[in-house]
Amino acid sequence: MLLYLSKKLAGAFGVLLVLSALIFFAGRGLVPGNPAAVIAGPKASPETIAAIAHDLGLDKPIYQQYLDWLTAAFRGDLGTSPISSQANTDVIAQQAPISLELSLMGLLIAVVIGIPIGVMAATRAGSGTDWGIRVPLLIVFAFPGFVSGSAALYLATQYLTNLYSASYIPFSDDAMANLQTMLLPALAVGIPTAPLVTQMTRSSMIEVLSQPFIATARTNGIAEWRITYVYALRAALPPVLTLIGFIFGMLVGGLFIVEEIFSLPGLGRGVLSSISSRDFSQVTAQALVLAGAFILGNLLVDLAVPFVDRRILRK
Amino acid sequence: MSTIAERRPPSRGARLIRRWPVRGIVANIALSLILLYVVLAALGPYITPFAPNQVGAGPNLSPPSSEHWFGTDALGRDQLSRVITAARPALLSAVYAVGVALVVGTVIGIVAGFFGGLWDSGLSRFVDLLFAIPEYLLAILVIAVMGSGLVNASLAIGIVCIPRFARIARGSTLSIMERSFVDAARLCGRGRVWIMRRHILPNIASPLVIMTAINLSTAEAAYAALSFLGFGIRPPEADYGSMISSSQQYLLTDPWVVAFPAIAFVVLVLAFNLIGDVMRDQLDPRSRTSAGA
Amino acid sequence: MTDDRARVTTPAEEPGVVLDVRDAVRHYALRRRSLREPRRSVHAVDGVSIQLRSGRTLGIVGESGCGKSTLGRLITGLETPTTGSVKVGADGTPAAVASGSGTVQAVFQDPASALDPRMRVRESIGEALGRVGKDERERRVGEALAAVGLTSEFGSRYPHELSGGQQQRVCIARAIVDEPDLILLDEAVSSLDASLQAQILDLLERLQRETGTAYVFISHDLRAVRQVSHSVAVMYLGQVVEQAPAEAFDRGLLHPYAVALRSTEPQILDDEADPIERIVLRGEPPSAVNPPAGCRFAPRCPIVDDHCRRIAPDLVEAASDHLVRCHKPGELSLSGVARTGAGMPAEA
Repeated sequence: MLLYLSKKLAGAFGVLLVLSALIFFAGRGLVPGNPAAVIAGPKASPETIAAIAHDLGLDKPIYQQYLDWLTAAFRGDLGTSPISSQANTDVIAQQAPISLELSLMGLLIAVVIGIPIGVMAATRAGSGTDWGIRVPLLIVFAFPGFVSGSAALYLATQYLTNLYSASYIPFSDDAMANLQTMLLPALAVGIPTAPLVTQMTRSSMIEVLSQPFIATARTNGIAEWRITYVYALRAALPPVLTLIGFIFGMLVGGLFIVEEIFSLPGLGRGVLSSISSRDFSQVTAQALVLAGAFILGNLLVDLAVPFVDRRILRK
Repeated sequence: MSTIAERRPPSRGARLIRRWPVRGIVANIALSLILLYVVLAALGPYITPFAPNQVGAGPNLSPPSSEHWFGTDALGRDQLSRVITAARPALLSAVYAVGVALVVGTVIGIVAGFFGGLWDSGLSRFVDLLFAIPEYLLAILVIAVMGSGLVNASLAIGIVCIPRFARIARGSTLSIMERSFVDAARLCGRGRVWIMRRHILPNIASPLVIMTAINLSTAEAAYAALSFLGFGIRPPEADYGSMISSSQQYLLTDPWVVAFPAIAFVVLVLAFNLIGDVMRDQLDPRSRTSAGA
Repeated sequence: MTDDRARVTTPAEEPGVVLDVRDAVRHYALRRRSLREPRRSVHAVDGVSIQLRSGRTLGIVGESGCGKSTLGRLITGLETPTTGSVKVGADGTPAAVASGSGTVQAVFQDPASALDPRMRVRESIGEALGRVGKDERERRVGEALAAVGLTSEFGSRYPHELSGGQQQRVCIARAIVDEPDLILLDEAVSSLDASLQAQILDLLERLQRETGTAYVFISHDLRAVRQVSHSVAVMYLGQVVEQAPAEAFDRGLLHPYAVALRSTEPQILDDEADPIERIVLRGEPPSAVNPPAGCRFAPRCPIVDDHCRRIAPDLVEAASDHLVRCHKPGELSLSGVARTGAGMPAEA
């Protein structure tokens, strides 16, 4: 058990370390040539550019810059953007909670919709009902976030004017108003993700339902709904849980799109605007936080799985 | 034995029909739709009623009419012509992206599975690492470095999809390696390249083909999303994602500007999805149903 | 580790020897399950020495996990021994070097797994032929097919179009087509039903008479081994515990494990003179990770004593061509425990 936990922790840390390098160099790749020249503007003299480069440590060798940035990041300092002159951590502190709330709500929606439908499809596998469930889901799946999001936005502004308010209100200020703003974007994140949950639940359930202990339960006269939703579902969930990493991936993808559509000032939209303003320092910090959160989420799932399914440890 | 000796191998045509990848009505409709898009992509420039980028082909934001079946956009460009033209980047992006992922992922997977040891742990680490990055973040980072555009965005999506192919290729290779015909080929003095090419590749082809079908829809959707975010083909070229994003502000007043490219795009992704789903059932016998669709 | 070198009399240079295994040891390192666990290894093959001349068949029997399949992989050169040597061919090339040169071929247990489902029979057999012209390839593949009793039109079939027996014939054709010195038959008939087994064994015997190829016949099936082998080696936990001429296998076995194994197949005997008492061994074979300190068979041996538990016996020549690794050879015989004193076979 301890070995399993430490292995997973070390693995996640290693991945984060390599990712930090990837993100750092990708951020630098955003500004071709000398970043100092970009900051100084087109009309700056070479002396000004050199001075700016020196101030920002950009005249050091690139690996040295990376190590400096990494050690600072360990201390919780993600640098200050030379373009917006804001501390990156401050910017992220404003953006991250929005993205976090959006993805958690989206996850909740995906699970609440996806699992019961998956169970239903599994109990009627191969029947018309099964296809009746799967085909509409495939259609939903084919509507990526940006299409369904746009459609939702259209419908809401048209017909549900009091459900949706366009400006973001922090949860701490007014919880109801916040939920009102976030519900629609969360649906736009969650609904396209739900078919994935359904698919995983369905195939896992089909396997469990064919196992002997289900037949035994049936011969013992246990009610069918109890067999399906208590016995079988409990056995079917661990594999679904292990695949939740995919869902995190989709959620993060959804953030970029949905935040853009609904004009939510979250991390996904922040990354995009940093890229368009060529703010390499800020995008590096944002991407690191985003990737870190993703890895942390997957790590938590990995650590939770053994508690649900003890067989993992014996492998 | 004589009855067996008399059994002729099936004719080429019969085998082709048996190998036809999909069966059922739904899958055939999907396949026909994809073929339609392929035709549109190929013939695009010759069949569009207007030049797709021609500004002022009609009045701005005119609703669908007999002259402009799909209406016109904010610059008066003919939407039907743009929707037809956009089939090409949509298909090309999917093919480029999946092509990159298929080739690179298969090579990585076979080499890792075949050589094992350090090769396997090294390549598997690399694949796990790619997998550990949120897909869109990775794609956007790749584009941030390489720049936007059809080829670069497709390449970014391809890189994102590599782990899926690498994993399935590695897993299938490992299961083939357990079969004794690999040892037999070694004893026959066949080298590693021969064994990988002649024995392993043909035997892992079917899961890879299915994976390809599944990923075409993912890649196509991802490209449209990137294009929506402004990383796709450069304007003014037509592209479903960018058509939707640039018309989004007219959604409330003139919904058809968004609706037509959105429908065209969704139908294509849905067709890919259906094919992928039917083939996924073939890959994973657990979820196999009555082979209905 | 025992040293058998002193007692092995056949030098590799002697004409006709196509397989010379000396003190072959193969260990597999085990993965540690926790950080505190010491590194351990499985002794799959632990000091085996055998020789085989061309035209002869050596049977190797033992329970699953006794190391016989690993020994087979060493002989084919698909794996290299941790220590010791495995030489094949008339010139005594190390097996790992000779692997793929056509000196050693193999027929595996499951013919369905031994043939690539995507290759036509012709291509599968032709794989064994190196760089030869198209015409010659076709001719030799056709000859090989004929030799195993298949018509040449089988060449264009795929494996799934053949029955199990036909598939195994194709595997044999692939093994013989390049005229190897030695063929490893690893459970080659175990997956076939009884009448097919007999057909294939007859085929193998006929081919050996015609070509003079040596066979190493690995099986857990004593009857099949007894039928085709000139000499039989019994393996237990990675070691040869008894190697005897096939004739001695009927009555003259000396090692209690070999006797017990033999007693499970009484119907091989055609004479009804003595009733055979079936000797049932208790317990499972001990783990090859931690073999017992004394005789490896001691924990299950019906005639064990303290000496056996303390000191591991060596493989000694009890009679001409008859080696045994036991402190009390012959005390257990097929007719039961014979208290006739140590050293001599109960019946000749």
